[in-house]
Amino acid sequence: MTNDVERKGRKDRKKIAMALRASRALRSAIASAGLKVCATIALMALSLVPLLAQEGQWLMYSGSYNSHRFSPLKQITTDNVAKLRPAWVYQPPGTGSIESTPIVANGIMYVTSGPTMVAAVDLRSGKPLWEWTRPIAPSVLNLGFPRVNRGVAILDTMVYVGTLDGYLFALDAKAGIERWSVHVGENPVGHSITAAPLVVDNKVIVGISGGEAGIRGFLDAYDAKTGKPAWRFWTVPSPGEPGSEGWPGDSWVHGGGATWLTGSYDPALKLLYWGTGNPGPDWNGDSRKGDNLYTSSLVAIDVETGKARWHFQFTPHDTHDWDANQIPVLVDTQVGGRPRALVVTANRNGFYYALDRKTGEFVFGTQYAKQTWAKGLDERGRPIEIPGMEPSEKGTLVYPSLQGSTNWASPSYNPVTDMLYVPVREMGSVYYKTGVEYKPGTYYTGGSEKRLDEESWGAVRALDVKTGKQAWDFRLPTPTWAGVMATAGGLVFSGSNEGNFFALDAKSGKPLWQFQTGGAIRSGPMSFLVGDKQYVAVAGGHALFVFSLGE
Amino acid sequence: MGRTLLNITRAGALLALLPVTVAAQTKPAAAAQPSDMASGRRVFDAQCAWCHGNEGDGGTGPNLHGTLRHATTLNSIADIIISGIPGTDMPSFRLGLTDRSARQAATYVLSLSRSASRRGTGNAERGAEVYQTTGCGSCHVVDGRGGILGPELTSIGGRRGAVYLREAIVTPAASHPPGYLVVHAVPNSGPDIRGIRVTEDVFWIHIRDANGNVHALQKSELARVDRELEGTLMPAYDSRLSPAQLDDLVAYLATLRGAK
Repeated sequence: MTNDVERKGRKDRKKIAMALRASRALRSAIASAGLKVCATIALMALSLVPLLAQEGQWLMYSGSYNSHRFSPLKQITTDNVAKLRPAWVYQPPGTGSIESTPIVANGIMYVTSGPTMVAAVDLRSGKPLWEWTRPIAPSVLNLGFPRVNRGVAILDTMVYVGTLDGYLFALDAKAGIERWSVHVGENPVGHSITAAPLVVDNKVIVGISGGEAGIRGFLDAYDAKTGKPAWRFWTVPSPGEPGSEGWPGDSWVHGGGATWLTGSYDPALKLLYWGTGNPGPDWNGDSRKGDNLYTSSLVAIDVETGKARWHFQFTPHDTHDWDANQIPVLVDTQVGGRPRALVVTANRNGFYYALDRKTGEFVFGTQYAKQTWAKGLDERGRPIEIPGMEPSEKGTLVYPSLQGSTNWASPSYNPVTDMLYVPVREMGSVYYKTGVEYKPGTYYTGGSEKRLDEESWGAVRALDVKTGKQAWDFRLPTPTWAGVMATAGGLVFSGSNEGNFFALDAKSGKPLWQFQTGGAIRSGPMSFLVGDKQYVAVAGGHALFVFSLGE
Repeated sequence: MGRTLLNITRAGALLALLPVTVAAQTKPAAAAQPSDMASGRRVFDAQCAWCHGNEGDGGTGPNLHGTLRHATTLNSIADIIISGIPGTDMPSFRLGLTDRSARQAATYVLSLSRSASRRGTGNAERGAEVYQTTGCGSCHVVDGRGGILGPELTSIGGRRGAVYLREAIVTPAASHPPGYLVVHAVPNSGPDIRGIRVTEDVFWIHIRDANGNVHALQKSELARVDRELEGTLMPAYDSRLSPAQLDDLVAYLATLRGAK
């Protein structure tokens, strides 16, 4: 694979020259899904492997820094997708389920399963070359999320993975041997890592889970070679810092704001875009009256310094557990006839937002799923809340449910249709508020929910990125946990809790192909080349399925 | 849904009549304090009454008066509230309740278990006869015998309270047994199919009709599928049973606590 790519690269001197420039200048990955920016990454120490999905790789959790999850591969099309067949299936050791999006680099797939296992799988045969398992004792805490891992990052000869017990490991990409590790967070007080790290500028950026355990959230950067800490960004300010006025007393100490999903990156602005989780305690906001910055927000962080350049809070003083960790998608499009560099996101709170990604300015926002807690957004994007929708002792019925109108399952953006395809959860909950006290290593939530399961459903929903208006809706029996991938073949791939992996027509939402995997799909689909042939992969239940066109 | 919310509202009204106390004690003493009882009732009304009934005499969850099946001490009841009971509908409240709130709720539940249940007037032996003669067994299994159209009842008395059981007989459409959603499929051609949804994914639905036959249907060949959230295949028995027979049948069902 490396040689193939190198050969291709040699054919295109222009591309190599650009790759070298980008490599020397940044040694970092830049990908804009084959649109305007075509930059590259130095993957191997001595050889350059262009970081382009065109070359058939999938080099980071969301496919590219802009998190489009758009594959430019177009062998599999609306015309031939009906011939898609399983090529091989990989079953990891242990009983953990796979919520990972695999990475493909240099002819190898890197996939993780729960609680913390990494496998390097040969693309042609489906055989594991190595499997690395972090021993996770039953006593290791996972307060507020399952015992899962959602993927790795890669740079040069190393693969990076966070562990359920709060460490970041660098593994040798060829042998799965540990090169270094750092202790990121204390698991006995609720810190865990389930998110895939992101490699930027020779740094490994890693987020932390624990928003139901009363942690104070942060985002960390470590030197990719050595593991030496580069910076830490606290998502909850300490007294005296900007935003601290929204945290009475010592409420900031257990203020939450976990960073439990992978963010995005704009190499031109050198800005990371990272979503933050709910404030703590989740459902009882009495002790933290105020906006509770920077929880339930999107924060744009300078990758050099680790300082926030701007922030945008979707749900001020959240009391419904509406984390804003959903993947921010970087989009260049026209709004009102004017070209805009945007970061867009379908938020857990039921609204779709478009922000200027340089300044954080609110461009527009609109409701995309059923919600009963806000009349709308004001001119600055702040919700106009309906009184009496907070959790209560007797129970308060609110849409969406605490898992939100969408959750960690990734959306996908197709630059050709200019649509954002969002995995949607249509569900309401009765929210309860209870007493709460902080006790290290236990839940710090102050309430609960009763979900309205019977009347709930899910969808893959196509939104016009310029307006947030629904273009089509493909209905699912239950609120989905499956990520979405759009491809240049005019397809949208996603899955269901009921095990279906399916392909839709990107323009109409019409189903064109499906395969029953036999396990709930709680992972993101991705696509890659083996030689010259396109493959599509997705995890269902405890197994990873890889598909290609049959004869 | 409206019914359940009504219950919550009623629980809230009850709550207003109770003295509001602040439980200040932190020591994990086994001895119940009066304040624990009052706080425990508040927790119970908000979190437990939904399933166990406002007075703890059962609903979709079991009656808590009399000997409890899974726990008999304050500690073991508190453990169950925190951890739930695997294999049953009893969820874990680890997320929503502090250890102290769980212990307070356990204090109240323990007091319920020590107070006699408000006994129904039914006679379980006569109820067993009603069960036989009314033909309940043609659709329900008890101890391995009976039909499969409706939910198995072998341990129904341990899982549901008398109020729920009575309502399920009188107004079956309101009982919503999990796994027995009624669906109505209209194929593009051919006769409609109505029955219990056996399984459903994005592209297929399997329906068991009233004769017990399973239909495997591809959704692309259906004009539509209606989910009847208030639907049931069970006839309403309010006019088929005398009030005394109904009391007896409920008393019999309440004795069903698992295979002998």
